[in-house]
Amino acid sequence: MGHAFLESVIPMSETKLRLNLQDLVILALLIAINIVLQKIQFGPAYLKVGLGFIGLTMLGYYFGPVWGSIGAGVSDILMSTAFGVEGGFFPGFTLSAMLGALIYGIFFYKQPIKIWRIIVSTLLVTALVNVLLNTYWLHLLYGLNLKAAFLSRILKELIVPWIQMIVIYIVLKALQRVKIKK
Amino acid sequence: MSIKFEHVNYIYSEGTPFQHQGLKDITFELNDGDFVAVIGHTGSGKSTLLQHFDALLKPTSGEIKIEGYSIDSKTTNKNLKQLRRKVGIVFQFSENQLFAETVLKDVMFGPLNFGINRKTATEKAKKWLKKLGIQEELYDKSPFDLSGGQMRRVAIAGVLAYEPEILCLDEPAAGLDPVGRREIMDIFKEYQKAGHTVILITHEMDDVATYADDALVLQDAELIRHVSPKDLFKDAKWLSKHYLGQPHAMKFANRLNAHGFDLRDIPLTIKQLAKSISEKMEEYNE
Repeated sequence: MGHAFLESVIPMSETKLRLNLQDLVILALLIAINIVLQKIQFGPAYLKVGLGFIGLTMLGYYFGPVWGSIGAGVSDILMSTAFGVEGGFFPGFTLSAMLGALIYGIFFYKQPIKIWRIIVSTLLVTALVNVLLNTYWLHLLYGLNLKAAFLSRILKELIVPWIQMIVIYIVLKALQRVKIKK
Repeated sequence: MSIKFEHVNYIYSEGTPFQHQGLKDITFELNDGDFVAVIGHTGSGKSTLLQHFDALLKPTSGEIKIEGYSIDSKTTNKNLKQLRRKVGIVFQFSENQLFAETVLKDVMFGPLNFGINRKTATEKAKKWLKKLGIQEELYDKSPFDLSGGQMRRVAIAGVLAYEPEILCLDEPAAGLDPVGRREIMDIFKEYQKAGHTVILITHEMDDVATYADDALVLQDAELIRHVSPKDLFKDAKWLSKHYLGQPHAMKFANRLNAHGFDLRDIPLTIKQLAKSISEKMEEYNE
């Protein structure tokens, strides 16, 4: 039963592993879009609020967990190459971006748009990526006390996901209308 | 109330290595209700000028007076919404801005955004879709299912639906078939005759000759002439020096005259050309 449930959430059999040239070009475009969206963000280095989650949602929605997270990883590396990042390049954040797209991919790729999928995926990304991983990276990078880093971020992470869910819902509804022509 | 530009300068990315002058000391005054053509070479500043009409770009220095607004470098984005309701811009390749679920909703977006109530917005949207030749059965389709020409028409209807006082058009007919092109240009002319100002960016000298009352010629970010099309097209040498040409009718008439046909008025449009040729023929027949 447990397996059947997992299969209903993550239909691994449908996950596409081979990309044709057209898919590859679309992936490159999405990476570009993702980079632009990642650049639109506010606040200091330790507390970013931005539109990056929209790019990750798009990567996950169109390309699924595998290629979506590869796209997210490539985006992160390209972004720091082209624009540089505050505090310097750190592969941990590349991993964070990849995990975000992976989670969105699991929940959105070839799936009907359901409120619960949006809520669960956003909460998972918030908890695993933003709260756990990114706090840990900041601890590694700046030697911040883990508890202090956690406390300084937790307020934002309690508020922002709910806004993200609404935005993701609107974005997914819009993406559904714009079929990529094949 | 006229449209007035006073010593308008615009500099892109001022103070950075990418600094570039978009407009240089532009001064002119346009009459209300005119059909104004803006012409000039690629990169001469036409589109930059157009974006000043509804303050998408604000002058780096100088002042613009339009629809009771005065815009200078210190103008903030607050309170500009009413200006943008009065000055509609149809951008180049405007079909790229379609986004809504259905054609009708896409056209209604503008009117609703400017606070027009839903009932009136629906009426206006339907009215302009009909004028632009979009059949009713397409209203509930996704705009992405339409052909390129239909998408362009829907996008134009979206700007006309809130019936701006001043309609700015950046090559609205580029890439359309000849019949579609004429239909759309005729709609703009009709819109002007109904008491609105139309400002058209174009590379088509025939359109300037056929539709425009007034013309602005830009070159390298500067306004080099502000004349009526009739006067503009008189001097073929000046035109070719500034990378512009004469309308086809005019070229043809000049060639007839070179062969001794002796047309008195050099016609600007094909219609006028046909008329003066037939008049000439009657003279011969007498």
